[in-house]
Amino acid sequence: MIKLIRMDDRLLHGQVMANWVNGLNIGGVLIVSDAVAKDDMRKMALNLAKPSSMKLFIKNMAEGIAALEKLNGFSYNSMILTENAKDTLALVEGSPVLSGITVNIGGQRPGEDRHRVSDTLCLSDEDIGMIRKMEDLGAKVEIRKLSSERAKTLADIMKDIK
Amino acid sequence: MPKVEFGGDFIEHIIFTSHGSLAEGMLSAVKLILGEDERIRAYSLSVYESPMIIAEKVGELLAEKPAPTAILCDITSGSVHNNLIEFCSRTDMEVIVMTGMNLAMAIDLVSKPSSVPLRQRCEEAIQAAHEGIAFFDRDIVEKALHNQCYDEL
Repeated sequence: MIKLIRMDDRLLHGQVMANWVNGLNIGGVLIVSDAVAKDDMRKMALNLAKPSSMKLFIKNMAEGIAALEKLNGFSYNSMILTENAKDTLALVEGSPVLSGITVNIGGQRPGEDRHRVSDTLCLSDEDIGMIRKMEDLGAKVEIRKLSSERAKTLADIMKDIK
Repeated sequence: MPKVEFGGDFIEHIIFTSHGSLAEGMLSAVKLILGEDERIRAYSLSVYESPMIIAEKVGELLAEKPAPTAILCDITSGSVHNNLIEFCSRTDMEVIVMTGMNLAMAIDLVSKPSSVPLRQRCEEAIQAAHEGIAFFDRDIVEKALHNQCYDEL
């Protein structure tokens, strides 16, 4: 069963492993990214770095959406990692399997057009619009870096931005 | 996730100890990954101090706030370890000492729910510490690159 989508441009790293993979007893992680899916070196590094007890799948957007139903049917818990709001929205829009899914907005690096939300999260107006659209589509959006932190909503962070 | 509530009763202590400032560094790394955790303390040793100082600090803590305790030491048979190992013989509370502290060990121990017995979590953390040590070179990386395959999904 797919438990969560995590949006984090660092993809699979220590905070994700310790907080979500271990915390939710995740047996399989699906990375959906056109860029990573065609980069053999990055795929190899991600596969070498993962614990042997966990399955890792790396797919481009089209293959990723096509694989969701099968992933959801596996007996183990799984989660999806995306690099940005655009890909996350494309998944939420793209498959009924993800209806009502929890979307964890974790990390996004600074950029010229991005507002700082926390030490690891910066979002542009465009990102915020896409996250709002995920909510409109029924996704449960929660904004936090670590599972020990209080989950914030989009409405919470909008008060702090600007 | 393990969010420990403290109401005056200390559930347990997790103590990082080391030569130099490795213990403080370990605490800073664990905080970055898992967030604040009131169970954890870091005691380290500067070149000018007697190794007994860490044992004294641990002794004071356990006297003041008795609770099951896991102590992580940087290296087996170092002076820090030698001075702490005697705490294992205490009969009034459970004290477990582990050596070869690394970040994988610390994260594993801190992130498991405290409903699991401390001893079991410590044994699992030792396992995680072993698994967290690996060797990579060009040979291994090239083989991995060549053998990439994607299974059932």
